[in-house]
Amino acid sequence: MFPLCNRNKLFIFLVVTAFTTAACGNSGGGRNNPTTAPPPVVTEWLVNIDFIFDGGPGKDGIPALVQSDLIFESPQTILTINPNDLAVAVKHNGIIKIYPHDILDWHEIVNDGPPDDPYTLSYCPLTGSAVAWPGEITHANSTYGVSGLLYNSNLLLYDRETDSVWSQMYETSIAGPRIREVSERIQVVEAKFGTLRDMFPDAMALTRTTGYVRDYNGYPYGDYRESTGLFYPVTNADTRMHPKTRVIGIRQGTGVNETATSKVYQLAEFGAATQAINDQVGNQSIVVVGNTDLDIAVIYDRELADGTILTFSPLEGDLPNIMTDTEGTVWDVFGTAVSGPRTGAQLAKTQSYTAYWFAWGAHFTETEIHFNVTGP
Amino acid sequence: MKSLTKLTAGIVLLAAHMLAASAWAQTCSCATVPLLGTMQSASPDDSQWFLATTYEFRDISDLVAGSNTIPDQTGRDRTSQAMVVELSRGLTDKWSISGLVSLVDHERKISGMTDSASGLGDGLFMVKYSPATISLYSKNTFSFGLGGQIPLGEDDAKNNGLTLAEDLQPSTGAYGGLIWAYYARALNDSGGAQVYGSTSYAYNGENDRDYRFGNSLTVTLGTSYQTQTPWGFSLELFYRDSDRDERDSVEIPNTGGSWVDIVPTVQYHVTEALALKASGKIPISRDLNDALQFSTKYAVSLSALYLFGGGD
Repeated sequence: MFPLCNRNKLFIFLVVTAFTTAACGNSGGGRNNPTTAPPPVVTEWLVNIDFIFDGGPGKDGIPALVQSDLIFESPQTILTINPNDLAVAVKHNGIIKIYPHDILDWHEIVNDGPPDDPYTLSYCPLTGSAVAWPGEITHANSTYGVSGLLYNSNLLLYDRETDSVWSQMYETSIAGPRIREVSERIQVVEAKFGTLRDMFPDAMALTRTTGYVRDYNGYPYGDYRESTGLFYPVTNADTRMHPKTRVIGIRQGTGVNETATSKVYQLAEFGAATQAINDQVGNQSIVVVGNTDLDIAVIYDRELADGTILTFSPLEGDLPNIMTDTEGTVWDVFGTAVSGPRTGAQLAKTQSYTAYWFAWGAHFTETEIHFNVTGP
Repeated sequence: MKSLTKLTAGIVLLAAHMLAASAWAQTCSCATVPLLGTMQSASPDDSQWFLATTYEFRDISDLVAGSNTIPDQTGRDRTSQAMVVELSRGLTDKWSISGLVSLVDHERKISGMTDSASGLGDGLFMVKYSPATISLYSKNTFSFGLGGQIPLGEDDAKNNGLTLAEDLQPSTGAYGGLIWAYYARALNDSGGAQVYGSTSYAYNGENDRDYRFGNSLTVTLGTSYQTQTPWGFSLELFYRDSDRDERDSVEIPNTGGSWVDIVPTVQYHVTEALALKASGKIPISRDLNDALQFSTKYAVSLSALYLFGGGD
């Protein structure tokens, strides 16, 4: 039915093929946009790069929020947030702000605070960890963005001043010009939104008017919070507990140190009555205060600047005050003495935060578990 | 029928067959891109060769929440380009084999950073059986195919030493299986007007990083018209339903879903055996899994189709 091939036809075909092939030509590998300043070439990483994954959206593909876009309201007037949903409270220079997980799930980073005293709150939905770092006003740009990379499933931030990459859970720059720099910390308290609202009725809560169109009623990662599965491999899969068990952990020292002495306390094991656990981790005397029903846990250093080591007892029904010491001082959830002989004193922060167990166990391989382990 | 009339009818049939044999399946920045999106359904006759080369450009910048397109607001630019070369050979009047190789370029630009990877992608082979073909004596074409996907290219492309996301890799890095069926019916004696439909199911295996793109089902319904001039046209609806991707058997949220696209095509016959074809793809309905996904905004493709060999 069809004629045999001849050279002219083949020539036409090859011309067309060559034309279309040329349109697809390109070089391999990553490259920088020639119209903008290229990011620095990274030659050194402090973590195993085989466990750094590109999450898909790309650098800034998950948009960090900036202070100028944010609108806060009294938590008493915000009705769009379920009181049982988790939120993060930050106390910075006496001002308490509440950031609901519902919003943090979609943005992961909030660059907040006044221009002369900024700070950055980051929250990683895949590791359930929230930390806050003070901004460095000596830098022209002290804000952070979402790098689009994950290490052990944990958020890697980048600072917009130098493009250095920062590990959220190590709170350390792991690559770039600021490599090995350790961030300062601001105390955060994670709890149910309703708990924080009731504790701090005069605080300000972040509203959903963020400048972005996102489904803040929805959770972006399906059944991830309950399932045993992870989206990315981790360096150390510690199976002593269900991977998504929420724990508050404390580690000794700073920087990237997988074998740092560390210990975790499961939030579900504190019980309905507040517990204050006077404990010792490494050479540090600490108090761990937690309440399962309130979904709250914090860890402070029991040793004061004068060398006194306090012993604490839980305090019920007086939120945000959560414990007393043997001297009669009452302390609130941010570690501030609110009444008694040491009124106005401040307990020292510790290297601690809440996270999913798998993430803590992956970042800190020598972790002791406080409560009885019931298995995954 | 006079020989000239026969020849004209033959040309129309060939043209109509090439025209109706347009998109087989199209995926969105995931497994088997761009193979399924560009594979032709033509099954050459005994001893004939069919050579097709297709360039495709895909803009994957729509941010979709379920069925709604929402503003991205991140300035992201995500594109994919592909060149696919397909060679088919008729073994008998009913049996044929096809092989495809792809050259792909994935690019993601955002926040002053461009991540890209290009090179050899996946390959595909297929054995086709066509018990009936539209001809002067038949108004129906039936074709069935069974094939496999072979990872030919790089699947661990890196930027700055870090492995790029799975959807940016030139190759899926995984073997897969494909099953396909095609039906066309002539609406007139010349066979120049046809309605056609096809369906396919693609199974994707797991790559070395334990990642597996979701299996997908496709259904295409279309109509084509080959004029008595070199020009022909087709219009089809293309439906695809894809499972979520998995890593180590854990479903990855924000992957998979269902898409309905409309695909208009125009074809021009340079000679009786050589045709050029241009297609567009516009999404008309989407229902994507979970909270948020990037999806194809539009795609355009240009193909050159060439049939040679065999006897009269």
